Order: sequence, then structure tokens, then C-alpha cells
Amino acid sequence: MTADRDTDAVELESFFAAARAAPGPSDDLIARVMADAETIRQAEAAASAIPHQPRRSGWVEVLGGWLTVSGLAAACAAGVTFGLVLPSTAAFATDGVFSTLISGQNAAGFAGFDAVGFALDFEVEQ
Amino acid sequence: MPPQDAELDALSDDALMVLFARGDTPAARVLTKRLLPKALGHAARVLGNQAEAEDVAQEAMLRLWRAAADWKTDGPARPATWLYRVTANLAVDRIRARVKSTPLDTVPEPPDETKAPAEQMDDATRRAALDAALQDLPERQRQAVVLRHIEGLSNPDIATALDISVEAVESLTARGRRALAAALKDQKEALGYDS
Repeated sequence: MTADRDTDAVELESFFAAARAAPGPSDDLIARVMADAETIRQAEAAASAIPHQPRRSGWVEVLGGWLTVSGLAAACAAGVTFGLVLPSTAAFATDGVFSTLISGQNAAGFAGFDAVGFALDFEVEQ
Repeated sequence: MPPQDAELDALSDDALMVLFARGDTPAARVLTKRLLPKALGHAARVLGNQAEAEDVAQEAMLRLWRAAADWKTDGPARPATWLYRVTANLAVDRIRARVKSTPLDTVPEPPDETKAPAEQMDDATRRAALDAALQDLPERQRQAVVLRHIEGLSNPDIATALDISVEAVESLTARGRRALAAALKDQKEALGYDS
């Protein structure tokens, strides 16, 4: 049994050795493979020859560049800050303005004013 | 000055890949000389058809050239192992396409090239007999046997190439050898050669 296995192994090895001694690739196949390599090499060379453009976002350009965008960002930040941190101060300030406008002579002056009627009268007189 | 072919011959496959990625065409020539016979031999034995094997080997080499730009010399696979893997996958794709497009009972028998008049089998006859016997093995067994016993890869390299465990490689090659030995013995007896 062991002898059979040894014989089989030797026999099989002679087949494998014959397969290893098989003729290599044809000249035509080698030429095709090298042509592929050259095509890839040229494509890579062409790709690396294109100068790299600096990466600038399109929307930054549209808004007028980084200086403008920085100004906008600062303005937004300031607006948000005032909105969040100073609501009571702002309310106090606006209350003061409106209470002054509505009270006293100013309020009386505004009370009887009819803008639409005034405009119509003006048209008729013309 | 680019290195000469003699200098390139001394370099590893990994180093040649890096050189090719830098635009060195002679590096591609040396890689072709080293690796194309492996890809072609494997494809031919798995597919049993030289024309298809040439197409597969060319495609596998093309993928190697494309991979050169991003090749990592400290990566897990060497170029040869990587190429075997690509070749094996392309060959399997071809076999599956054949099975889908052609009913099995309409596939013609491969030409019997083993009827040599000599008393002893010569190398060409042995190759033909082996190729015929390999075609009868299950596809995974065939790949493992070819890589181990003809291409000479180690079991870990075969495991990497076929994406299976080393234990699976050992099992596949052992079963493949037994099946091949039986098939070749039958062929020899049927052809009247000395056993």
C-alpha cells in the first residue's frame, strides 16, 4: 500500500515536471502585454503632466472671495450673538423708542393721519 | 539614468512595480518575463484552452499594470500572488460563462492528444494527459493542485491567492493528487503504456 503510494507520487511528479517544462508565452502575447503596459504608462504620464489646480470652492468665488466670506461670517456671528445674549437689553431699547413715539404729541399727530385718503385727494386736485 | 535590464533582473517584483509606476518601461519587460508565464500556465491548466488562457493572462497583466500606481510594497500580497489571484478569478469567470452559455451535453470531448506511438510517454504526451485529467477535477481542487505542484507556490501563498485557509489548501491538494493519480493511472493503462 505504502509502496503503491510512493510509486503514484513519483509517477505524478513526472507529469508535474512535464507541465513545468511547458513552452512559455508566444512572442505575440508578450508584445500584446507590453503594448498594454506602454498604454498604461503613457496614460499615467499624461495624468501627472496636468498641473494641479488650487482647490477653491465655487461658492466662495461666487460670493467674492475669502475676504467677503469672512466678513459675512463675522456679521452672522455678531447677529447670532446679539440675538442670544442681549434680548432683554434690545427689548428695553425698543420699548423706549416705541413708548416715546406713541406717547404725547407724536401719538396725537399720527392718530388722524390717513395716508390713502391724502393720496387720493392729491390725485383729484391734480 | 534608468537601470539596465541586468540591474533590473536583480530587483524584487515589488521594486519593479514601483519602477514601472514611475514610468520605467524596462521594469515592465522584466515583470512580463517573470510573471506572464505563471499567469498563462495557470490559466491554461485551469481553462484547458490556450486561446482563452492567453486572453485571461493578458487581462490579468493589464490589471497588474493598472495596480502599479497604487502598489504598496509593504502590502499583504506579492505581485506574483496577486497575479495568481486575479488569474484564478478571471479563469473562474470564464468557466462560469461557458457553463451558462453552453449546455454541458453539447460540449465536445477535448481532442485526445495522448495517443502517441512511443512506448514511454514523452513530455508533451504527459502534459496533455495531465491537462485532460486536471479538467476532470473540481475547479477549486484544480486551482490548488496547479498552484502547488506546477507553479510551486507555498500553501500560505495559495491560501492568499484563492482566499481560503491553509487547511483548506492542504485538503484540496491532497484530494486533487489522489484523483489525479487515479485518473492518470487509468489513462496509461487504457493507452497501453507501461505502468
